[in-house]
Parts: sequence; C-alpha cells; structure tokens
Amino acid sequence: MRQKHLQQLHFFLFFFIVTYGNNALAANGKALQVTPQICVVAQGEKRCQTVVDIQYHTDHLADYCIVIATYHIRRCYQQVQQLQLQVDVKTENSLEIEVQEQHSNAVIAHTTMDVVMYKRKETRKRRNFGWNFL
Amino acid sequence: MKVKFIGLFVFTLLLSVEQAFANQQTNDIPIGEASVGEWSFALLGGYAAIENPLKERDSLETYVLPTWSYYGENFYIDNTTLGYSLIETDTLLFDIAGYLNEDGALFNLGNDNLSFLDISNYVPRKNVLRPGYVEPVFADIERDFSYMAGASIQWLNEYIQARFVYGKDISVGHHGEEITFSLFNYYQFGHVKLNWQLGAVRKSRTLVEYYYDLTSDEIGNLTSTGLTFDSITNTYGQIAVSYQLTRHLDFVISVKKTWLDDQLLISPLVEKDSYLKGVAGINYKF
Repeated sequence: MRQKHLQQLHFFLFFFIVTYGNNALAANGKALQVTPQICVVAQGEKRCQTVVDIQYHTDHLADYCIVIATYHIRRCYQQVQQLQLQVDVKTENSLEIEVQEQHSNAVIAHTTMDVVMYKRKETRKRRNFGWNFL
Repeated sequence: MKVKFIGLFVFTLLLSVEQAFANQQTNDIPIGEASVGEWSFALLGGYAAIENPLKERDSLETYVLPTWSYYGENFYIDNTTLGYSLIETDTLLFDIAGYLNEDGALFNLGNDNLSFLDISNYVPRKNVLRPGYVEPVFADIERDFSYMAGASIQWLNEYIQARFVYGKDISVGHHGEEITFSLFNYYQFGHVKLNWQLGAVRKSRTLVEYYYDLTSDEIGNLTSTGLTFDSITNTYGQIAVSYQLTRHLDFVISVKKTWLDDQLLISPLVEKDSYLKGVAGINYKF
C-alpha cells in the first residue's frame, strides 16, 4: 500500500516537474542561463527590445566565448569558470546563444531566447437582441 | 495520506489549468466583442428580476442567471439570439438572425393559469331559469413564446452604434412582425465597463392582437371584446455597468426600462404602462 502511494507521489512529482520544472532547469541541462527566456513583443511593436542577461557556470577553468551569431557578437574570457554578459537586443527572430571553447570553437552549451508576438485574438461584435436579461 | 495525494493532485491540476488559461488569455477581449471559435459560459449570482406589466401575472425573480454564447466564423449564438453574418466589416454588419420576442416572455414568467375572471372584476350573471342555460367557461389566457426570424443590420463607428432588426414570428403561427431600432455604445475605463442603449420596437397589429386581445374562448363565448388594435411602438432605455474584479469575476449592474405604447393600456391584460428589468450581482465567466 505504501509502495503504491510512493508510486503515486512519484507520478505527481513527475507531472509537476514536467509542467513547471522546465523553466527552472538550465538550457540543455547545462549551466547556461539566459534571462529572459521568452521576449514578448509589445502590442503595436514589430520587434522584441530587451536586455538579455547571459550567465554560464562551469567546473573547468578554461578559455570560453559567448557567441551570438546573428548579432556578430563573440566575447571571450580567459581562464574562467563563470561568464556573464548583458546584451541590448532588438530582434524579430529568436536569438541563438552559444558558449564555445575559444580555441577549438567547440560548442559547449547552447540555448535560445524565443521571441513571441503579442497577437490579438480574432474577435467579433456581440449580437444580443430580443429577450435577454443582460 | 490519501487526502494529501488528492490535495497535491488538485493543486497541480489547478496550477495547470491556471497556466493554460494564462497562456491562452494573454490579452483581454475588447468590450462588446467575443472571441471567435470559443464557447463562453457565465453564471451570475445575485439578483435578477423582471417586473411584469401584465395584470395579476408574477414578476420573475431569480438569484442565479446562466448566460452563454458562441461566435464562429459567420454563425453565432448569444443566449436566445441566433444568427449568420452575410456582411461583417468594421463599420457594417448584416446578418440573418432569429431571436425571442419579449411579449411572449411576459406571459410565461410564472403563474400561467389565469382566466378573464382572475384579471377582471367581471362576474358572469347566472341566468339559471333560462331553458338550455349553460354556465360560461372562461379558458385560461395562455400565450406562447414567439421566436422571430429575420435580419439585422448594424452600423458602427467609434462614437455610436445603430441597429435595425426585423423579425417575423415562426414559432406560434400568428406571423406577427417587429422592427427594432436601437442606438447604443460601449465604453471602458480601466476595470469599469459601461454600456447604454436606447431603442424603439414597432410591433405589427397581428402580433399585438395575438398577445393583447382576448379570444372568444377566453371571454366565455359571450361577446367580442370589441377592442381594435393597430401596430404599436414600445420604447426602452438600458444602462449596464460592470467592474472587473479578477479575470473570471465581474461585478455587474444592468437596468432596462421599457415604456409600453399607450394603446396597449386598452387591453384588459395590461396593468402598467412601463416595466423594469434588472440584474445586480457577481458574474463568473468560465
């Protein structure tokens, strides 16, 4: 009986994590975090305008670069375990962000800041005539 | 232990639903409009009443009032109104439509088993000495709901909206007609929404006779009522205010006053020359 309850608990926890946990985990399960993860385009605007905060943590001391190809940004840091970069962006498209090993250009971590358009739902004028209460 | 699991499940489920709604409803629907392709249900808890201008007939009072609507690409249902749009632009709407006539509703709000004797001080004289005398029978005065089918045309701009609705009875068989002209508009000030409406309804003679004249059965087959009706015009004014408390809850007050055409007062069925319809309460939108 106890075993069954534990199974239920595992199921609920799994359900909970699948539903809400994805935002809390770092991208690709690695320690690259981007804030915001989603940029919502303001009503009446065509582009997302925001300051993107990029942070990367690693256990291995080495030379790393943060690369945003679409912005031609490649910022490198020598012999570090932590990287941080803030970038002003104004974009219509999602932003691909990579951490590369500086010398080999090998991609160590990768994530995306998605751009979501604020789209008004299609609506129609209400018709409510004849006998009604409201 | 089991209770805790159920609690956790419900909590998780509620959060899921809340998140689903948060994702879906990133913006409010503009006032006076409805989302396309979505059913909308609401339940008002409070007080809703319609005063009955008819003699001896009950006013309707209720504490719970459900409302519903669905707007498809062209088709729509809005409570008892049904329609299909032929033209729908930012400034002009032209629909074929059906709706429930209000006179029929007044006859079906509560106590329906009323005869001429209940609504008048008429006392039949019993002539029991006359050979072959049969005591007159007064049939109950019953009127059905009329569902009206026709068309509506609406013009709108940012200052005002105007609507003509034509309807002809398709449910009872009296084939009475109505034309309604109304002016109205909606306003929004933050969480407060306001709607006003002024209108006039022209009702054809056949519709007026069906509802407000008496048949010979109803007057005991004695004589004719001798009443002659023409087409009539009722007028009305309505104001509705709502205050949005949360995404699902609104506080709502709506009052409508209808003034009956003077000519209707000759009918023995009618007591008041005007009546109120009102609602006040909390509306929960599902």
